[in-house]
Amino acid sequence: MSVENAIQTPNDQILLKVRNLKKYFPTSNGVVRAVDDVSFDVSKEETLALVGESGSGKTTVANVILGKYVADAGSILYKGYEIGNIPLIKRNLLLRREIQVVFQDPATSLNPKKTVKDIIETAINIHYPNLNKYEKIERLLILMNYVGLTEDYLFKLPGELGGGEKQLVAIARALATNPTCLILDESTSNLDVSAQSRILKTLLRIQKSKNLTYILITHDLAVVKNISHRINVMYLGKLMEIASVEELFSNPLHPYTQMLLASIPTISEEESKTLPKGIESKGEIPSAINPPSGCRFRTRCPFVMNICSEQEPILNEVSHGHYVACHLINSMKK
Amino acid sequence: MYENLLTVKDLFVKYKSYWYVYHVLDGVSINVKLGEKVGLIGESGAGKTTLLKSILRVLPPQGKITNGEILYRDVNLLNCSKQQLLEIRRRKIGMIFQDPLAALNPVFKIKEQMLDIIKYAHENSGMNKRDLENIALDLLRDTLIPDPERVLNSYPFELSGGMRQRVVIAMALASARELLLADEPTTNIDVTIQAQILKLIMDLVKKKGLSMLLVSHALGMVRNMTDRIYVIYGGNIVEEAPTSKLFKDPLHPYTRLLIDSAPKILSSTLGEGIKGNPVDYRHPPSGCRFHPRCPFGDQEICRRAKPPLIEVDRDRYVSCYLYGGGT
Repeated sequence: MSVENAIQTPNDQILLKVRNLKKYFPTSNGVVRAVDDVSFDVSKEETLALVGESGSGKTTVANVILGKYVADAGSILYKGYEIGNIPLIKRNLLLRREIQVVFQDPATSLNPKKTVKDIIETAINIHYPNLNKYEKIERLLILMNYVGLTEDYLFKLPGELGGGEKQLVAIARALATNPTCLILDESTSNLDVSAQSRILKTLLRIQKSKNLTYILITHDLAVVKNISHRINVMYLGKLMEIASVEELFSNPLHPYTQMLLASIPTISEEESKTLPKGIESKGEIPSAINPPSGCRFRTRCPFVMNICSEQEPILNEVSHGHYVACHLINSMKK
Repeated sequence: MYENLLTVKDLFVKYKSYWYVYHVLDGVSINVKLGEKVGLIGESGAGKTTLLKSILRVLPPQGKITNGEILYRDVNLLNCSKQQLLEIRRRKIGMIFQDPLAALNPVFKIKEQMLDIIKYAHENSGMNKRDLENIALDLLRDTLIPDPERVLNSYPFELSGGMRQRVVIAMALASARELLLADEPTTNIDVTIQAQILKLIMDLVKKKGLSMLLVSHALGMVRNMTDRIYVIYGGNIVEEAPTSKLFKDPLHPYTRLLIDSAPKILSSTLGEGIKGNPVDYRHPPSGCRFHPRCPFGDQEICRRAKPPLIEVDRDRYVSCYLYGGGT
């Protein structure tokens, strides 16, 4: 059976299954282990957040799912079909339509010399070449209406738009193919808070009406709290903790997660009280060329033990749907 | 009580391009008292960086200060002698720039760039190169850089983002003996490193007894670091208040919307955001510059005249007709 058949007959609740994914980049200084044995699931119609510092491999995971890179090992099953080993150039239009992406900086992801109409129309032309002129225009207007842009914007250039509006155009372009899964790669981190909350609201509304699945890549935990359902915490190419949003914010177990939460700059006293105390950010993320032995976080962990440098912790389920990779948590459980 | 260290009075700044004149700062007045930590918040394009650059007189050639006064203690920076200005830049005020990679010259080692600044900060003190190098090492140690000798002999690209920012802070501290200007010191840095850098800046400001003017669009960060806040919108100061009061009870509609749209971690409801776009400085709106985006901005008076900054409570100033000031 080809991928096309699979797309037409969706069966179970898991949209994307990532298993033991590895992606290494050889450089002149050594091999960068960008993603090193990562496994997780993405269910249909959920928002899964990938959280971590820069250099933790979040974007690499997204790029492998998108087909920009081919996985070195492991598998990515999309609706039950292996896509991890198909490079973008060999993916057919049907598969490309399914997974779309919105990038971080709309100023660089939109062609400054094309009008909003041209930008969105290009995507329609490629994916639906058989539509006639009027159907294309109709589609274009529906898309713009969807993200909340009026017809006045049709012939504007990206330079004439504000940051938030540019990002709305990028979202409309991504929606042009009727995707099932949208990857949001730091899509709101370059925007002002006033524009950011408009984009987040639009994204939530679109998700509800189109039943989209989002993979949200970000380092802003306040954004994550507001729009996602589950969180994967990544560090140096490994998964450290997987939990639902409520669970992760009320009961963060991994020391790295606690450090991330404690670093959020809060805007009220009540907020700072809910965040973990007593764990202070220290050190920097080490190089992925020679990652620390055992637990990769041990060089910055305040609770480091002997076992941490000898043995690598594996993801253990501590409560329903809450996984942690930490020796400390494992030993406390025993 | 406090003595005014820096006073900006009624400052107007314009940028000229080939076709247009951009009326950016429109009568901005702020002051920083001795030992005080002041924040300046606003969206990108609100004129925050322009204000800092005007203070140090490092505006690009297109930028012109057309009116106003900038007093540092009792020296007017706009018409003082060149020697006085250099003296203040070299030994009184230090500035942390936004993008550490752009603030450092990629083809020189950190050592050369730091010594360049330290040399002028310690002019006529009769120090030799060895002493200056020791000062550089001390400054780097102050910023908690592990292995400062190695960093001193590195090029900027060999350092991580957090390290570069620490170097930039060390360089700012070389000349900041009284006032530190910080222009979005932690944008583009991870939250964990951001927390470290902010703590570092706070500790150093306290240890060295500096005053600080912190400019940022990150509300949470400004809240944790300052005593008093100015809110700037479209080149106008729209509100001034002590930090705790501003976040508890914002008065100006812009401030309210801004704080409301920041994502919260306690509730899961998102704010409305602010409709419309930042000010187009070629044709700024008449009257109150916020009126086209303001939920209460349909009054005739908002379009007609700029609202004055009036005191509504102790230490609280607001520039909005909702709180009076209209005739």
